[in-house]
Amino acid sequence: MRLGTVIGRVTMTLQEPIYKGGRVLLVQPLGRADIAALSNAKLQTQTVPKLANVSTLVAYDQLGADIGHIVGFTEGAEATAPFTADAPVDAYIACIVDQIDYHPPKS
Amino acid sequence: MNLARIDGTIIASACHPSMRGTRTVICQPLDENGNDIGNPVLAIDTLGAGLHQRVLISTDGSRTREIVRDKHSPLRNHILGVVDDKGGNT
Repeated sequence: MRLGTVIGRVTMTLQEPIYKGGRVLLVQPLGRADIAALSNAKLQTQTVPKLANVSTLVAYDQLGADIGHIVGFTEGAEATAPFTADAPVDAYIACIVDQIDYHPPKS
Repeated sequence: MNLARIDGTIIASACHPSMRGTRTVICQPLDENGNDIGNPVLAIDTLGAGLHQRVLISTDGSRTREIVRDKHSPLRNHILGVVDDKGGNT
């Protein structure tokens, strides 16, 4: 599981029936500097933080995460585990983070 | 299995039902010399590992699903053990 910021939404009129009941969001994975900046900060704002130069991924969400939220997402085979049938899902949002306590050792 | 260091925790009230009641920690993966590699990952901790302790992370999703007793859990990483001593340079 990794941490990421929701930066956008994907809307589809035609979609696989298995996607019903959730939504599809764009998630930007967070690096060390991003997590340190968010430690003990007020989360769940509607502002999108400055984007790092890393690839964005599309994640399936059943929790109701919105733009600006910090989420924990899983990738790979585990992303399809919550579904009762085979699902074409690469990344799944497992939690919406309320608070981060991040204290890396000072080198 | 990966060597990592506990660098923090997260709190999430809206989460998959299998995560309720479990502690989720932020782990920094380490190389064989104890240097940081890559970005932090999240893992489920049932052992109560402390801040800056070195741990082993399992990436076996099926074992994690047994631990949280939910076969539909999306979780993969869990803390296998807390490292007391490691041979080698560090």
